[in-house]
Amino acid sequence: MPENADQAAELLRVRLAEGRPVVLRGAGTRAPEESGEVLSSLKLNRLRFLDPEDMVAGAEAGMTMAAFQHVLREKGMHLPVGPWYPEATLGGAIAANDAGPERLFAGGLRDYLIGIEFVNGAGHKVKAGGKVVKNVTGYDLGRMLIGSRGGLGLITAANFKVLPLPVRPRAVLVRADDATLRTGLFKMLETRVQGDWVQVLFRAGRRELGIGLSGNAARQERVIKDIAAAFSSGIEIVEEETLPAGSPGSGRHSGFLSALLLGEAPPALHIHGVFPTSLLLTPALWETLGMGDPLSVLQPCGGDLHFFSKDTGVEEQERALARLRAALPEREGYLVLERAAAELRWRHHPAIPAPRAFALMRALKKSLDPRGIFRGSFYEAPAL
Amino acid sequence: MALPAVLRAQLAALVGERWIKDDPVSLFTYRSDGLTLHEAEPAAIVFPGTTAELSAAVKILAGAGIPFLPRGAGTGLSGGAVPAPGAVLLEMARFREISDVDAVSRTVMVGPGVVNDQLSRHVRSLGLHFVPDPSSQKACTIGGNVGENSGGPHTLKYGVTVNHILGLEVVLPDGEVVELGGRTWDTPGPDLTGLFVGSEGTFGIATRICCRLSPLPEKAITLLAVFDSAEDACRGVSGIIARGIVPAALELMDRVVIGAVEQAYHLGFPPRAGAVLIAEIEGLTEGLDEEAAQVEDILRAQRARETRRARSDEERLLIWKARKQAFGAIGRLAPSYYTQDGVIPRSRLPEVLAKIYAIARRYELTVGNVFHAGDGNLHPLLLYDPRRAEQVQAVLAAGHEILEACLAVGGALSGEHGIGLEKSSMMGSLFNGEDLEAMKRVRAVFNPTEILNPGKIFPSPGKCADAPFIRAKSGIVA
Repeated sequence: MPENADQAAELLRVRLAEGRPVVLRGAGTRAPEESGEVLSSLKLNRLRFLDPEDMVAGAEAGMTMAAFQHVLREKGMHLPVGPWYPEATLGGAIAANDAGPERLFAGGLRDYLIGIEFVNGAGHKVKAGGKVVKNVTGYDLGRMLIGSRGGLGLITAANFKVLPLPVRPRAVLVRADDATLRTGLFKMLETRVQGDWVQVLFRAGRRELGIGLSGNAARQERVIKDIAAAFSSGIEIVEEETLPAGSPGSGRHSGFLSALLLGEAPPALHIHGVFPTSLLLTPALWETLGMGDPLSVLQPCGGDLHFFSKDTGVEEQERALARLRAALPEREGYLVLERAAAELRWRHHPAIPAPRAFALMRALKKSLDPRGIFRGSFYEAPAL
Repeated sequence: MALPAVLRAQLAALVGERWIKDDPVSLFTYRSDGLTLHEAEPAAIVFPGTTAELSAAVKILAGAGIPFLPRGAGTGLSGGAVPAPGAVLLEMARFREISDVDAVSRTVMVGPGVVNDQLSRHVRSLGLHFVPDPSSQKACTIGGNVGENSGGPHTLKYGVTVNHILGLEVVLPDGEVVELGGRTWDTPGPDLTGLFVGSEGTFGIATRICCRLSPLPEKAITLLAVFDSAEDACRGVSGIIARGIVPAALELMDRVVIGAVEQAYHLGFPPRAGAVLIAEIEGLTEGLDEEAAQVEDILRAQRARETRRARSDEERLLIWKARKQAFGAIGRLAPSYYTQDGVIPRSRLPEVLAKIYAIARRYELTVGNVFHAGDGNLHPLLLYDPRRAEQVQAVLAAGHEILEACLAVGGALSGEHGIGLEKSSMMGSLFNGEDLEAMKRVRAVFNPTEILNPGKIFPSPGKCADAPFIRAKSGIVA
């Protein structure tokens, strides 16, 4: 557990000399690498700067998303990218490319990351980007590390553009049958309803849609009217701070998956899907998402779904994966095994299918980490 | 340096004789981009019509060891599309297809030769638009926007090009065709789309681009605030942000630019105004007037002499026309200008702006400022006469000092124009050897032999920081 970036770089140089690869880890909320000494970023947890007037903030990568959001909140700001787990670190969220229910309206990490510091595979500290909100000075190595899954470098600090907190945030909850929700969502997207976030939950035989909104009274009244026009009934409006635990949108600043799982440990199987939104509103997919246990989550925002299952059996997990693959057009998107039985992860690449630019990603890994100091199963060819 | 005859014949057979140009007029026309201080004629200009043609052309050129580079509309402002000696320009203007509009997923596929403004007009009937709106949007192409990661006045709220690009089909320098990203807003693995956007044509050549579309604002209110000084106007900008309001745009024009714009467009700006701030608030009709009133109150509290709202769409469009064509209007004041693109934390605007005026005074140059104040992205326009060699040297030296002033307050060399040839010698002021080496290792993955657009972004070995003086050989001097 290095305490600063220089220590981390030094430690990596020692491991390089010894020829001992390391596993990079933040809070460990995702599928762990199979073996190797863990290099944890958890002690790199200091805020570096927060300038609300410039709408920028930077922190070390081991700071948790929840802690970062907390300090921002105290200054009336926030990073509109909801973390999945309260313990998720900034570096981990970047490496896994986390996105919360705000993705449609507010963007994702790629829209807010403005500067990065990391240690590369040669044990050298490298920086790119900076502290300004707009910057094309050199290559954007920060965005390169988004989704890099710990294989390209140890992220030691990150700078973000941040936004003022939403004014009087509220949520509209809609409870209805599948057909009504699907039609309503389609209409809502087509008529470009302007909310803050959107999330659909699938629990045993029950569906619940949440849409966030904020702003002055006149604006809110209008957004609610637009939502009501898309969904004929079943609408309830609540203040965001009084959102019942387990509702759509709950925990979006501090870890929404934990809030939705209501105290349960993360299920054994977590499949994350990214597909164009228009392909996520089909009866076949909704029927499959309804089989999630204890739940499934759909964020119809650039197309994001999360299927969970408590089943630990490899074949049960394989069947769940096959059902999802059958309900989705494979060429149009990807399924990612965020958590799964080890055997399932050996059988498949973590992304299904492997990314079309996989050869380039592997070349990038080889160029930035020529001696393979960072364990990275994501960059290994899938077992056949 | 002419293209070898055998090679020329191969390329002509591939794309057709009419799509290869190497006559003196064409070579002269394509010798620079929008930054005319840097120029060099290409060996030829090739206009491929399909990805397959481009890939084959790239293979022919790479096989012969001839450097090449892509070009869109040539509106770039950092010399990014200026060819290295003997290089061939691959002009992407024929890639103009717009297809696969998906109003629910809010995505569209476009060719890199599609003009920025044309894309927004194409999807307007669906209530959508492509947000990045550089001042050159009536001419610049989406491919060029991708290469430079272009911005524009409305990036304060909505982000720059990279925030609106989801996927790319790319021809690599060895002719291989690869797909980065996709039609989804995120894809697994390193964000190669995000890495590619802004790589200034040094990684590969985009042939299809998946753009993210955004809802058109239902209503926009454009405010003009008149200040006695540019520094006061900058404080007005900070005042708005400090109150938690993020307008769609916050643009500033100073006295010199107001004078030029007024001569061209007759907007009725007070003749002795020190600066004008354009603030645009947009969104749903409901609640917008209230927000605009709040902004007006803040600006008045920050010493705005006067605030006024555009009373009609026509008036609003005229204000934007004046802003977007301000660079052109400057032509009324001097034969040429040199613009910088440094970006700084916006709270430091008053201080850096004062420094810019002081630098210009010291070099006895006139400077006008028209810039994206909300982003802290400066565009000082240094006026000069290219026929006077001492003025050319003075604007280059002043430009260099202005960028140093930006770096001194924690800023960066470029907010949206790119590094290109122009600022490559200053990269070492911001990044150390390890940082630059890491960037070069990334370039090596895409472009290992540097045959694609060589000589850009990175300082040339052995060149000292005054390289811009050497490079700007002032070929424009009559």
